[in-house]
Amino acid sequence: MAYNPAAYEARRRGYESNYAAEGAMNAYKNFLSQQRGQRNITDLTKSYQKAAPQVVAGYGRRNLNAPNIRSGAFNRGLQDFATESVRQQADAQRALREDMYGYDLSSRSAQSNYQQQLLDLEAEKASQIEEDARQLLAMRAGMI
Amino acid sequence: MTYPDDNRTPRTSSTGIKIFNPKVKANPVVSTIYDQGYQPTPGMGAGGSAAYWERINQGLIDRAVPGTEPDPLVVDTPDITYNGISPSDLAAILSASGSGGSTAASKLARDEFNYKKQQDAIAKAKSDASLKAMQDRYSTGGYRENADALLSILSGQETAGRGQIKTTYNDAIANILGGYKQAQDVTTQGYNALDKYLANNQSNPYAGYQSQVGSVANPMEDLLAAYGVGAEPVRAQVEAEQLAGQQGGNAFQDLMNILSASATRGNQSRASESQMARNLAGANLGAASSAYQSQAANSQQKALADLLNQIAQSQFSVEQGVGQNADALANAILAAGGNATPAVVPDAIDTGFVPPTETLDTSIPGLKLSPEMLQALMARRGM
Repeated sequence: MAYNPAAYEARRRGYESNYAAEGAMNAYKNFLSQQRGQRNITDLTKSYQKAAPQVVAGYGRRNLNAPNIRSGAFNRGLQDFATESVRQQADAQRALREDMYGYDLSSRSAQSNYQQQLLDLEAEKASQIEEDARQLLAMRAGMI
Repeated sequence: MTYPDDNRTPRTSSTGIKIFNPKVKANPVVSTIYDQGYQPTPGMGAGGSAAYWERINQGLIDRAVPGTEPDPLVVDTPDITYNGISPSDLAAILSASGSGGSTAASKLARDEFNYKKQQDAIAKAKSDASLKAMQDRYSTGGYRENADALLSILSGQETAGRGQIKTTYNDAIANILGGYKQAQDVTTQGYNALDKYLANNQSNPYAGYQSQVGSVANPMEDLLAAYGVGAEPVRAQVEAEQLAGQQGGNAFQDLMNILSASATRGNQSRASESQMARNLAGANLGAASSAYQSQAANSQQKALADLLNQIAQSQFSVEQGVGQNADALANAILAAGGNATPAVVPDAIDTGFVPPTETLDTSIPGLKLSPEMLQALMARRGM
């Protein structure tokens, strides 16, 4: 097959179109994931904020917490509550961040693939030109 | 038959030939040729009386009359003739000459003889001239005229063929060298374009990535403080979560760094591949050009060999024809009684044949060759 610039240009446009579609899809997924992860974190924070008075009240009903009473159970329970809140929020944040890592990786991989495809295309063009040059020499030599 | 005053009586010999006995009467002597009807010229021969000759003439006249001539003398002799003249005719002619007594018949016979002699002389002259012409043609190599013309044409064809082959070869080499340069230029342009693209697109998507590590906070810090509860255990958890997040971020950063380094090596590899492909393309083109030049040279050699072979075959055929012509001419000369002297070949062709130095006994027992014949045979063999 002789060198055909139009064919290479068509292939280049195809690569570009695929890359654009893949990148858009990845960005949209990223957006949705961020939205969803952030919402989880917010909901988690709100749920802990709402639960905090109930936890304190529960220790009060059991006479473990009063203005003049400071029990060790209350202190320990409140610390555990806060620690669990930290752990769960950290987990949610980490999950969101890992999702972001995945999208970043997908995005950069897609870009890398697109660039590699273009580089392969250019190398293929050069190779085809070389083959055509050999054919040209053979024709000039009367071997074809 | 009897003559009035002649007591001779012909008798028949044992061989059937009627002869006269010359001893019966000495004068006149009558040769037996008189009985052949020949009339001698008066005054010649043995002489005699007038009456005698009158009788003789009368006898001849009588024999000229049909039905009165005597029985013909039957001579059982071989049929030997020379140019259509029998020995008896020749004897009669010779006897008639110089006697001075010619008659019309004898004059006619003499004229006939002279005419035949003249014709013989003419024929001999023609034959001699023809023989000499053949000998001259043989000795001077004249029979080669057509062959030399053909050889000249062949030489011209060889020269033209060599020139054509040389021209074709030169054209082929020029085309190959031109095609090589053109192919080299095209290949160089192609790889220059690739190198330019590679240089302008050395981007690394993974390069410069910094993983984001979010900070972990204690949302219950105020609550714990409000109730006078110590926050140390919670801070420890915060630090642990922060560390876990940092470790995850670092791991992902490591992954991105690895991918980035791989992409960088890929770019470098592509540049090296391009250079290698460029070098290989040049080597391939050079090898192909050399191969094509070798093929052109081989084709030239083959064409030259074919041409020379054809020319040699044609020359061989021509020389073969020359040899056949020489043989035919030599045979004709020998058949005409001449000698075939060796032909003078204008330009001896070196055939590479070396005659044997030792003499072989090629004589055939019982076959005697005259020196002339031997010379002719040697001439035919060019010896």
